[in-house]
Amino acid sequence: MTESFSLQVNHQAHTVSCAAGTSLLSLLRQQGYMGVHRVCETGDCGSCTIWVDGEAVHSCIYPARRAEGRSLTTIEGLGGDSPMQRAFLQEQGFQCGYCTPGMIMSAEKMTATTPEAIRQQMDGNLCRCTGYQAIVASIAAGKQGAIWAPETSVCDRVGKNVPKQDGPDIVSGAPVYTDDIAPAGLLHLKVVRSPHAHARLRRIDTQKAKALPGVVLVLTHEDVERRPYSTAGHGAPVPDPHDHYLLDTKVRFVGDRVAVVVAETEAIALQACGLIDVDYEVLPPVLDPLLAMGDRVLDMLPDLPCPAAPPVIHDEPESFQIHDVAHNIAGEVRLEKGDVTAGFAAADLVVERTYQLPAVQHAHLEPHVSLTWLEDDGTLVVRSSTQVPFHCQRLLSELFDLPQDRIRVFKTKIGGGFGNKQEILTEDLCAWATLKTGRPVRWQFTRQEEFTATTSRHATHITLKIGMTRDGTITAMEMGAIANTGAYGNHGTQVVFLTGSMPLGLYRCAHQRFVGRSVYTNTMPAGAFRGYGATQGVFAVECHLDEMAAILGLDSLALRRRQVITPQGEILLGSDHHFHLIGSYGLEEAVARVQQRLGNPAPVIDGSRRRGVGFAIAMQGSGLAKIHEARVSLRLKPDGRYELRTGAVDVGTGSDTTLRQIIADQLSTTVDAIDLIAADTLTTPFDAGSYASATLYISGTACLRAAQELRSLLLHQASQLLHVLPTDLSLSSTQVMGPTSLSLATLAEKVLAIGESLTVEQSYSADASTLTFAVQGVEVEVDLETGRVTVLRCVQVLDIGHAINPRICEGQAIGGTVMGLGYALQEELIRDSQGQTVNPLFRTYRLPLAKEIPPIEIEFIEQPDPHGPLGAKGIGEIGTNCTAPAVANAIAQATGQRLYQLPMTPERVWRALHERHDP
Amino acid sequence: MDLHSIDTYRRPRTLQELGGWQPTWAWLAGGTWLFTEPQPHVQTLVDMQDLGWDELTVTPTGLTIGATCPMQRLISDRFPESWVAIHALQRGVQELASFKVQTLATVAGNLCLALPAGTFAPVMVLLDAEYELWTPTGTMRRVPAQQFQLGARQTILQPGEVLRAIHLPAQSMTWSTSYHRFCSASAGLAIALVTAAYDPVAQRVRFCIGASVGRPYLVQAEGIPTIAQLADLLDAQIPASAYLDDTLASAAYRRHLTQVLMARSLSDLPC
Repeated sequence: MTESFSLQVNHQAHTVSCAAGTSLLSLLRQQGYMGVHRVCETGDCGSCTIWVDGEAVHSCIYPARRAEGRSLTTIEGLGGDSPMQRAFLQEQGFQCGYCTPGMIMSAEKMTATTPEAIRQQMDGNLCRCTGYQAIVASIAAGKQGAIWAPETSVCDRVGKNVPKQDGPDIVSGAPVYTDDIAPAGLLHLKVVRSPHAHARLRRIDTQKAKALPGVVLVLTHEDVERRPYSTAGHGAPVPDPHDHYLLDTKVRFVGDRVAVVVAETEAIALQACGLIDVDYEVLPPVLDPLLAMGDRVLDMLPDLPCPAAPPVIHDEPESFQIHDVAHNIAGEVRLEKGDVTAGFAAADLVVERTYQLPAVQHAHLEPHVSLTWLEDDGTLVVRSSTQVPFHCQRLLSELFDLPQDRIRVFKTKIGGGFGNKQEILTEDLCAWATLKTGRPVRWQFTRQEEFTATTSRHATHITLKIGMTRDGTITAMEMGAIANTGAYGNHGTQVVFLTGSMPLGLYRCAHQRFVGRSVYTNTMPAGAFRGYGATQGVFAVECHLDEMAAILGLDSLALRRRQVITPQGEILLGSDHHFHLIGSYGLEEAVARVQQRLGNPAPVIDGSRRRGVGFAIAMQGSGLAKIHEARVSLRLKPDGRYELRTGAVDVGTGSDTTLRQIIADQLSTTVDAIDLIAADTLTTPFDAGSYASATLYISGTACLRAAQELRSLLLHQASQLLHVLPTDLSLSSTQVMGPTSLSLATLAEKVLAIGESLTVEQSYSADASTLTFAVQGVEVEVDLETGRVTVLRCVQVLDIGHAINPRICEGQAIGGTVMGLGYALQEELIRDSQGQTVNPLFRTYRLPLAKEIPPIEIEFIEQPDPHGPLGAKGIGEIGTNCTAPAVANAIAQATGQRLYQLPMTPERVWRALHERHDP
Repeated sequence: MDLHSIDTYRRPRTLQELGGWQPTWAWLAGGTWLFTEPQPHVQTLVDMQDLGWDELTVTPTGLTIGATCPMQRLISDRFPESWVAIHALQRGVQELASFKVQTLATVAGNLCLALPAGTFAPVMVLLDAEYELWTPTGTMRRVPAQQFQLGARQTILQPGEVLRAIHLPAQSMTWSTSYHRFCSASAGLAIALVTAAYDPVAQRVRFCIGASVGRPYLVQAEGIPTIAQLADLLDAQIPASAYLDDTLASAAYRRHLTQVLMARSLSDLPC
């Protein structure tokens, strides 16, 4: 029953009507206040914060009807130029910006003014990108009445902190994200999801759902031809198992797609989902990858009792590129160099350990969302929050037998991805529904769907055996990694490759062997996630070396420093698969700087509390060599401004700014003089997309080359017009300067008038991927009585070549580190014995809060890399990888007790300590 | 979130307006929990806000907290200086949620929700609170807080019955208190909660245990226990089977934490 009532929003009177159970969040978005962001819908994240009669509230848990007669203020009501908004611009207190309006609306009502107190009051606000540091600084500045105004620049050189160009949109809550438009006649899509971990569909009865008024379309597996594909979002030829279907006769995890409903409203679609009657033949599930392999687990873990034959998860004949169907092994990677047997024989000490890494979730605040529609000429348009528009276009073309030029995929501003939006999860069904109905269709995931029906980091079981001589020389390293890829293969095999190749490749050791498998189970699929498998392997190796150094009585960091890869070194392990090389090398200096900054604090004993320090090192490639391609087009426009067209995707990191900064540097202009058209298959050249720390390294190089070519072209054309040598000319932001000068607009006008082009195109794919290094040091305090670990200091030094935009790089490093702290201490997707996720909410899946983390100290070693654009290397992922092992090593130093499983929750720490003291 | 099953929103000004209570109705106080998950069995929300039940009254006999009194008022209002036990209630507010929820959420709503991790219930039991329960037809009964919660998400409330007011006796408001709550992370659902009080007149210490168990348990000492006596005191009054054992924490760890927090509480108290 809808009812009309009046209220005021931002001093404007509205008469509204809504259903009785509507939240104020939905009501405000219906009224067009798109700065109010939908994220958790449980009052936990604060992204929807507004004021009701001047009091800050989470609008998602505020009954809309209760707002009758009240005066509401949304971010749009602040005008875009309030002191707090200016402070967020000044301190750049955002990355993807999805949390920002809620942060600002909360910040305005906080009573705290000091950073410490501000962190305490930020309980009700989550951010996944920034690690909070820049937000805390913004709020503190806002409380002091920031009067910042952007400085005017004549040339944005690289190395300068050019502001993220989307800042004003972000702080004012502009409607710039995917779901912030609603085309006329929009339909809403919902899916029925499987309640069983493993089942066959005997029968689906959709009669009642189809009869419900407002339902436009119901689809089941009967409506589609079986055509296997991968959701992984890779370029062709797709290396991943082809094992997923639009809709299938079988479900393989709790949350798998069963049927699709498209209706006039979300409420009707949901109601109709409830009316679909599914008869399931429940099959035995297998949730543990060790059991899922049946007897083939014994190849890797010979001491286990022989398991029973497992249920086969992909028994369908159409699927392909699966390593071993009968044993549920999606993919296998074997890497070897030297002779590990001989290496172990030469060791004085051989230590073997097992490490358990959990499934964790990306938790980008903006959920997966797609809007699809048909243009008048029949073109299918997909507006999606995706990291890979071009791969998505190709996949949709394959799925629906449409030529690629009949499909346009583009992204607008993205509210975070971290790898989860490399997956094609919403675009396929949404596009299908539009093709079937001819109408615009929207599909946005709920937070619960994000936690149960997208992807996670691979839960990984790692066995690691290392041999050393008494002086700490590593003689052999052997690792076995069993990654739980869940119900579908997605990225599994590529991920497991990095689990071995990165952490083993970091050390100079003649004898190394790695066996990695990605194994199917009846759980939510795992996928790409910042760090991409290296994160898991780095944990094992960095903890292991630290433990062995302790056993031998050697300095752990010195031991590693002595044996890390050198600039002369070559990464042989896995080099026939991928092409990594060392360009600039600041690793030794990074180790020294971390040690210097953290010092060597004396062990502290305070009642039941103990302190300790720990270190870890990580290495990560920049982009994927050979296969990651970026093309750009750059031109001087008739009005004297530049235009960059690039398929590169800014997920929130700031690459839309840094790519232009590279160009501005070369053209002696400013970033804001370069118009940007990005990530649109119709209007921009191809780019593989945003993943693998590639955007700056690969798309950046394409931009650099285009800028250099355009610069030559401009000088050449100007020299013709001015009758001087090009070498006597130079560029400024407005003109070509020389003995006589010429404005850029005039130059463009004259050159275009004679029919010549001022557009250049460049394409780049790297022959090799240069390596970035990071070194982490942390100090922790452990409460022996409760097992609580508090991180007191957290120092990370990164060898990143040249920071194109240091503040943006620092944001990546801090955000990655804090994500690593969550991985270390508290994050884990927990599933029950039937495969049901028991913590699919922010209330129960605990992201780090501002008050839980110390200020993160970041430092860069800058030595220009010979391969990266203007000396730059990738930084997107690496910051995450070394945090957890550093924390584990610090706990070991503080307590003498090692933990081999993440997260290191208070109970796990207490158990480890308790079992040692009281066997 | 949107509660799609709701078709009617009522905002009565008196109980009489309400008529016969239906099983598909739900009371709506702050709404800060009700709107966090689908409520498939609820079709009508009965908003309590216009019933005038939001009092927070200080009298010589004690403190009364009305059904719709937002918890934030426990922090912003003034109380007699001798009522030092107000600090335990204030911790309950601070530990529950962000300041943006405190202005909406009600103390009574939190008690009725009866989550084991609830931040107020152990304080109410500790301080000998009494609850005034009203049926929709206006019949009233008064019960000790200790009898109200039966287990996780279980109370003695009958369909339609409402926690109209909480009464805290003036005498116990003068007790010194301590409050320790432990979550796996620094916030979220607690896995152990110990609140303790020292009655300087009777020279007795008492504890109330929450979060590690399905309902608040009062643990009373004869006088002032020593730290060494706490384990026996605890085990004598809470059976091992009472501890929750789930994915948040094991029973053994919850029992252990409870004892640690009791020891820390004891050292906080001026006894």
